[in-house]
Order: sequence, then C-alpha cells, then structure tokens
Amino acid sequence: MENEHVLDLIPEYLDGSLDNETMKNIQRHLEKCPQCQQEVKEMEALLKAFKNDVVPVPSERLKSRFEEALEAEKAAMGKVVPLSSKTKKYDWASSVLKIAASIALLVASFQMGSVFQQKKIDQELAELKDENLNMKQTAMLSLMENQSASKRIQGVAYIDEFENPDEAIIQALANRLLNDENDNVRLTAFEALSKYTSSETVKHVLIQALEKEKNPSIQVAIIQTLVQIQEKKAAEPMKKLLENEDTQPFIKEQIKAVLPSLT
Amino acid sequence: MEALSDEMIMQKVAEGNLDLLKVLFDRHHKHVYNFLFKMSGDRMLSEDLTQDVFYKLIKYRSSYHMGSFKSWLFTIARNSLKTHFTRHHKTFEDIGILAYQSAEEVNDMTENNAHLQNALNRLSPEDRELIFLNRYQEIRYEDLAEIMGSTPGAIKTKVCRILKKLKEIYLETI
Amino acid sequence: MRKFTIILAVLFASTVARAQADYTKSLSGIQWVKIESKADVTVKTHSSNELLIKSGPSMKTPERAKGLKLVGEGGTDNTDVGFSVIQDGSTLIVYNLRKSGDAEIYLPKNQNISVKSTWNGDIEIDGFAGEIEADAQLNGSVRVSNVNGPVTANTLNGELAVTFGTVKQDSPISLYSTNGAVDVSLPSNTPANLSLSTLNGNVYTDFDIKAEEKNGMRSLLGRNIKSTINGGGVNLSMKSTNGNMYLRKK
Repeated sequence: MENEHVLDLIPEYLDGSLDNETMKNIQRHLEKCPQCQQEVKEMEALLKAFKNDVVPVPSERLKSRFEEALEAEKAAMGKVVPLSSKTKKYDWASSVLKIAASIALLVASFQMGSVFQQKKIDQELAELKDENLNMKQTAMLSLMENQSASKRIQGVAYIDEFENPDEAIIQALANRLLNDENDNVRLTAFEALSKYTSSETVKHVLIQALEKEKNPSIQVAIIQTLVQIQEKKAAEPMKKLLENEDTQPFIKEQIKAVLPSLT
Repeated sequence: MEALSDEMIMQKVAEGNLDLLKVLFDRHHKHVYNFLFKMSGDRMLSEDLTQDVFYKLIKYRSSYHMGSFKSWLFTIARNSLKTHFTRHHKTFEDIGILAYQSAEEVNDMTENNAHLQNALNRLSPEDRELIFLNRYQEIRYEDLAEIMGSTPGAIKTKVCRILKKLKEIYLETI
Repeated sequence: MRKFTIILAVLFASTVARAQADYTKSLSGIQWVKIESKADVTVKTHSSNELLIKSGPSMKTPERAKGLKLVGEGGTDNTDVGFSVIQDGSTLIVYNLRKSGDAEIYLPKNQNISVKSTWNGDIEIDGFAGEIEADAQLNGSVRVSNVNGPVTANTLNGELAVTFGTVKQDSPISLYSTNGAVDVSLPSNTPANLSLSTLNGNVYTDFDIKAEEKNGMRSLLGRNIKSTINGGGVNLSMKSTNGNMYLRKK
C-alpha cells in the first residue's frame, strides 16, 4: 500500500472515517508522494468550503406546526394503549424457534441481552418524560405570549396536559386572565384556572379579576365560581359591582341573588 | 438522552409513544430542511416539504421496521420533493435551474460560498444530490446506499469521483 | 392677469379636492393588520399585497376643514381618506378617525387581521384564509364569512355570525358573545371538538351532537355541551351568556 497512490481514499482520510491502520498507511504514503499530497491539499480546500457554507435555518413556525400536527395525531389516537413491545418480541422469537430448535439457546441469550437493553431504554425514557414535560411547559408558556389570540388560547388549553401544574404555569394563566387584551383569551384562562380553586393563589387571582374585569360574560362566570367555593372575600368586589352603574343589569340580579349566601 | 439512538426512539414511536417524535424532530428537522433547500432553492417550499416529511413520519410510524432511521427519513424527503416536482410538471433539470437561482438570491453569501455554489451548479442534478446528502447531512455510505438503492462500495466510489470532479471545477473558478 | 392666475389656482385646487384617491400601502414585512373603528367596517380580499382603503362618497371633508387635517383618538389623518395608518414593528395599525360613514378596506387573502369596533360599528369580514380576530366592544355585530383560518371573535350586544369554508385544523376557534346570538355554519364534514355553552340561552344545531353532562359534575356556565364531530379535530368553542347558539351544517 505504501507505494500505491491513495487518491480514492483521500475524502475519507480527511473525514477521519477510516480505521487507524489505514490512516497510518496513508500517512506513510503521503510522506513520500508529492502527487497525493497535492491532492490532499486541494481536497482539503474543497471540504473546508463545505464546512464554511452558510446553512439556512427554518423558521420557528415549522416547529410549532409540527407540534400541532403531533398533538392532533395524539388526540386522534385517543387513549388507545399501544401494543407492548414484549408481545412482538415473543412472536418473533417463537417463529425463530419453530425454524430451528437448535439455535434456541442463542435466541435466549440474545433475548436476555435485549431485556437488559429494554430496561436501559425504559430508564432513559423515564428521564425523557421529565424532559417532555419541560418541553410542554416551555411550549405552553411561549404560546401564551404569542401575538395571535388563537395561539394564546391554544397555549392556555395545554393546561389539560399537566396533572399538577406548577406555580409558573398558574402565574402565566393568572397573567392572561388579568392582563390579556383579548376577551376570549381571558375567558379561556379563567376556565383553566377555575379547575384549581383549591389553590390560594388562584382564589386570590379570581378576586382580583372580579375587581378588574369589564366583560359581563367573564364577570358572571367568576361570580358563579367564587360562590360555588363559598369565598367570603368575594363579597366586597360584588358589592362594588352593584354600585357601579356600568354593570349590566343581569349581573346585578345575579349578585343580588347570591350575595346573601356569602355574608 | 444522547445515548438513545434514532432507531431505538423511532421503535418506541412506532409502538405508540408519539411524544418521542419531538426528539427526532429536534435532531433532524434542520438537516431535512437544509437538504430540501439545497435541492430546491426555495425557502417556503422547503419548509412546507419538511413539514410534510414529518407529517408522514407521524402517519406512517407503524411502518417503520428497525432499519436506519436516517435512510428512512431522507427516502421520505426525496420522495416528497420528487412528488412535488412531478405534480408541478417539472423535471430534475428544473431543479438544477432552481438551485442556481438560489445561489443568486442569497445575497449574504460570502465569496467562498458563491464559488462553491457555482461549482455545485455545474454538476449533474443526480451528482449534486448525492453530494448534498453526503457532505451537508453527513449521511454514512451505508445509509446513502440504502437511500439510493445501491451498495456502500459503489456509493463510496461514486462520491469520491464526484468530489474529485467538483474539486477541479471549484479550483478552476477560484 | 392676476384674475387669470386666481382662476387657475381655484381650478387647480378644486381638481385636487375632487380627485380624492383611494389610499394604498404596501404590506411587505407586515404580519398583522389591526383595524379599529367606531363606525361600520367591511374588510374584503383583493389580489395585491397592499392595504387599500376606499374613499367612499361619504368621505366628503367639510368645506371649512380645507387645508386642515382630521384628528381623532387614534391619531392624525395621514392617508387623506380619514384614517390614521401607523406601522408598529410587523403590525400595521389602521384607525378609522371618522365617527360615522362606512369604511371599506381591502387586504390580501392570507393576511392576519384583527378588527375592533369600539362603539356602534358592525364588523364584516369576507373571504380570508389567515387568522381573524374581531371584537365588537359595544353595540356592533360581527359577521365573518368564507374563512378558513382560526377565528377569535367576541361581541357584547351584537350578533356574532361566522360561516366557514374548509376549517384549518391547526389553531383553536373561539366565538363568544354576552348578549347576542352566536351563529356558526360549518361544512358538514368538518372534524372538530365542540364546546358549546350558554347560561340563559338555548343551543340549536343539525349536527349530531350528544349532550353529555357528566354525572355529578355541575357545569360551569349552567349548560355546557362538549362533543366531537367527524371524529374530532380542531377545538371550536362557542359561548353566549344570554343569547342563543346556532350551529349549522353548510
């Protein structure tokens, strides 16, 4: 090899994808072959140009569209329990056994190996699940900041994916309820929060919202929820609404009907 | 997480763990997009087609059978591109023209990039595709062979030959 | 000679006044167009990538306002058709400064638009494929027709009516009214997850909807129907606190 030209191996040599021995052989050849040296230099220049090439980056939209498609597919799938991988392997193993009983031992040891492999995967999957939750939370929080009201509503609706939403999520939802300029977003955020009325933070936020909210549909929804959980602190903002002349008559009637139960 | 190969993850996806597709998407969508952009020279189209590729991944997940994930992915990507061009009555020759336009379009390109792009544009579309896959997407010869329906040895020789040719053109114009 | 000059000047001025041109502005780099108006607004599609505001016949500027600029809450008339148009990043803000008289605005089909009526103005939007947000804050109604994209709309006292073409599945639809009716038409094969709720109104539909009230679960707004049609799909939420709800097959 030392005396043969290595022209055909040069790209792989430069990529470093050859085994050690071949690499060494090529190096030895290069030391005494100016022609191949020249070729290496030139090829190096070309490959460097590839490395330095600017690659275009897709927009964020691609990712959000993909995630939406995935959510849609998950929703369509419903709660179907996936086929466990074990049954599959069993079938596979049994057919192999049918073909040749003599290699049963081999198969068994292979399966042992794959059981360990499986365990490792499952453990890593558990870690991944945490990461997934994080991803979801990030997706949810960033959707809630989107310029589009529809996207913010979508972000709010992600709440269903969390069994125990943490403070950051509750706070983000509270932010939507108290500060979003879009009525539909505020109402959706209210509905999301109303599932967590056992939280003191949420109670506090609902009372704040009642003091601030101008949309009658949201006002009446908040009133109903606060009455349902018998939140006494809601009485004050309700009285204020009664005194306010901008308050819609049907809201006032509603308040008059429920106020005695709180005081 | 790094330890899990694409194939293991895809196997899990095929078994119903759809969330894991996000990992595969994160790992590969830029490569797919980049390949499609290099081939078509059209950002919007590349984004739509990349989207399409991952839709197909979602849809046909259960048809995945433990082969090289990258080969499978890029086979889908190539098919999507081909379907698009046949649907719009364009041939591979038109792809060549498009790629050339892209070189003109990108104005923040350095001189080096422009040279490389010009050299690439003088290859045949088939050769160019192989180089895109091999150089930009770092697809191994084994996987390339699977995508192209050839053998690793033959692909290796072919890539080497094209690189040599490209190198001559590239150095000539620089 | 002097007289002649004056005549010329008068002639010139009057032609300028008469040739009140429509206002156009390029939309390149614009993601959202936000329109705010006290009077009626009609938004329609056209094929060029620009904003076009028709100067209607009702646009006559009073004689004594000649040479003056119309000034309103939203700013100063910088369009000569009674509107203030301001770009804020990738958002174009369009204020109708006049308190009466219809506004007719044309935008490209795929534009994302947000329209707000702050007084009595009715909002009418026709033919768009982008995202639509409409908010009639007081007495106006909202009528959205032939759209595909996500619609987020809200009225206080006016009626809210939306007619969809093929419904895009990627982002939720949310249609709320406090005192008005909510009236929605969908192609009969639209896949969707429906959520219909009303406190004091009734729900009417020709879709096959089974109102499942979960046992023991009291729904929030008195009546709350959740159902899927055509296997489920995009979230479509309709609510009216005091109005009726109509969901029709198109």
